[in-house]
Amino acid sequence: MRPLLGDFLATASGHIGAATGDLRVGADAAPSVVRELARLTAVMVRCADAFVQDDRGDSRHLLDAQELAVLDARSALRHAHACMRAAWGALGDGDDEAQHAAAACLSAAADDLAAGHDLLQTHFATDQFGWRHATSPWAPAIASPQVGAALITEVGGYAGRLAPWALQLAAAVPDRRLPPRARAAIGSSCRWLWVAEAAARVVRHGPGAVAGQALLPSIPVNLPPLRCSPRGGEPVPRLCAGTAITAERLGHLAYLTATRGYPPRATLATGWQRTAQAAAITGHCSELILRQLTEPAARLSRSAAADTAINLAAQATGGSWQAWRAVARQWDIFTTSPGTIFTPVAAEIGDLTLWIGRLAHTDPAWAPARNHSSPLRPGAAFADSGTTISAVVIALHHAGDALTRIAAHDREGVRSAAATEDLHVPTRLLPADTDVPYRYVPAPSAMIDELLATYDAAAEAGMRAATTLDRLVLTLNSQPTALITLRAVAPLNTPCLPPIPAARAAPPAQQPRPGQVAQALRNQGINEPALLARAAELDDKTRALISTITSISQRRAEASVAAKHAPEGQHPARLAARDSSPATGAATSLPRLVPIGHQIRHSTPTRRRPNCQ
Amino acid sequence: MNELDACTARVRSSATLAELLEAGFDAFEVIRLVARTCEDRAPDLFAAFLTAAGTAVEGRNALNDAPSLPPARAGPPPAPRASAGASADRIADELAALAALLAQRLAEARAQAILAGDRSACQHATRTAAGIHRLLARDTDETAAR
Repeated sequence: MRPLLGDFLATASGHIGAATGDLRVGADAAPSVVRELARLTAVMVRCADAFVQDDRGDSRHLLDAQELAVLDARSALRHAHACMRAAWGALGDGDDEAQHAAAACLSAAADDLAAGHDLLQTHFATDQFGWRHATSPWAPAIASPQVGAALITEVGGYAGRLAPWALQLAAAVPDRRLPPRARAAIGSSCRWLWVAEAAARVVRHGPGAVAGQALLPSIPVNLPPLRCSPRGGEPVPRLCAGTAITAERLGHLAYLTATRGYPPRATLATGWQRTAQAAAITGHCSELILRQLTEPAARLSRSAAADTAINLAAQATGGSWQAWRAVARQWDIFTTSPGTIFTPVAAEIGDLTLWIGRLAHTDPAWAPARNHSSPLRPGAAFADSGTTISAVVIALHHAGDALTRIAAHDREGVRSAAATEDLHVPTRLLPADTDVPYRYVPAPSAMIDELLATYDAAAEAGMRAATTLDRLVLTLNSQPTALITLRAVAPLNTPCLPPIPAARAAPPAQQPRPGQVAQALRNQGINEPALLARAAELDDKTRALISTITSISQRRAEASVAAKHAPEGQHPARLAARDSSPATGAATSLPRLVPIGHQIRHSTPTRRRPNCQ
Repeated sequence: MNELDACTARVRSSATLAELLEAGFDAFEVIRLVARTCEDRAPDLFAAFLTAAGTAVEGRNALNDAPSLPPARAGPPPAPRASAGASADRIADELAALAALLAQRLAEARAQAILAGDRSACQHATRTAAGIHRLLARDTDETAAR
């Protein structure tokens, strides 16, 4: 089992509940509690700020109520943390190292919340300039406004529970243990925590917030599920579970391959054809299952709307597998360099075919071979097998979603191979009167265009099928599944996030040093917590700005050096284009695959089409 | 299926490695084309025909890399059509038989080939021909087409 964000959030919430449930915290516990509160609020700020794509705090555009509430909540959390940090600073050097029960609970809550934050960060990789690039199919969802709002809501809820307790604590501790300055800072911090909670309540009721809240606990650590191959004889519930797990794994592997590039010495053309034919067979079996579900015996206690939705899904799935078959047929005539290994998706997509094929057929060892052809599983058998029709449809939904993602990623891989002239056609397939003394010729551009158009059609048909399955699942279930929510909030893109705001992220292992603005206030004898908090914020922003400017300068300098040393013919604009887009970078990092021992003629002798179906 | 019979006869009667490689290339192409035509004939054989066609492409491309394959083809590329009256089962039987013969002849050729490139191509093509036989045979004898 992969750890989920929900596991950490639940534990953090439990620890906060344990801490705030204790209203008899002794006076001697105050320093350690304040220290842990400062640390916990730091982590809360980190969570609230971590996945903001565009900080529109000083935007000139009008923001809606939801956006304003998000900004207010984040700002209030920062103030709350700055005040709590100031309170801890005001306690002086006599740190209490003793770990009191409430402090231990707060510490554990901070640890869990930090672990949850780190779990989310595993879905991004940081480049040399601090920018974070998506590395998993979950990343677009994590960077979405809906999940951001859900995270603010969660953290705002913690703030609302901490505020009254901390205030009560500050009031109960005698002056000798809690100096007035610290007491005032705690009071300010609590007020800001209340502001954060109030803003989070507005966020919670905003549009799309429910989807984000449903998705938040389901976000896993960035690891594909373990490979799960069928062994034969699995019951229907296990076949459904295996289908869903394998589909998620394949979607993950496709994403990784697309972002990291294909392995060197991969047999690309064979892999792409195998993927397409496995997708076609998987879709074919999915359609057969959906058609079986419309049998009269399987229709008991189902609404007419569900029947209509099943029929529409079957029709769309039929269109999807036929589009995939067209892709498989296109690959009959193309080839790339010979290799020794398959791409991860091509190596494992057969598992998905077996899972769905065994769900569709009665042979427990079904395989795409003639001696395993068997009657279809009757629709009523799904309901009789201890599972629900809904579980079967959800499994097909997972498969359909994975195939849609694979179509989009493979299409980009093929486009890259075509751009680097890695697609060839065996000369023997050309018409007999073609006089070419080579075994291969580069694939003519008209044929490549046709191949890419076929992939586009497969991606579009897959999208249509997945959308009809979305509707079917929603018809059969009152609550949307995590996959439906994920598909709704996360388009198929790769977000790129700015660097994590520095300075605030580090827990206060030692008393914080004031920045220039904060120091200037102190020099003037100003100790008002709200002003100090504002000064600390200005210092943080200044540091972030300087860091960004430094990054840009370094980047420009490196680009300039690279342009100077670029070999002849490598235009600087090309370098810049490669540098600016992660997708382009991944594409250009593909190894140039030249067939070993192949004689390739680099001018196209004929545009006539070879003999293919 | 006269084209299949002719193709089978060519594979069986090839006397030299070059002849066998050329006949094998065309045989894989025939299997691919016929299998593609038959994909929609019987829903329960859809997966088998689709996979067989893809496997035939792998075998054909493997033989295309053999150094002893003549650079230019002697005749036109094969263009077989499965007859409308033939059942999918019968066509599958015939393709399985051709694949088994191909696997056997290519395995023999591999043992006698001198060039490493020829041996490698024959080995890969033997494997794919055996795979096609496994996909399309009625009751696969696992040892028959190795």
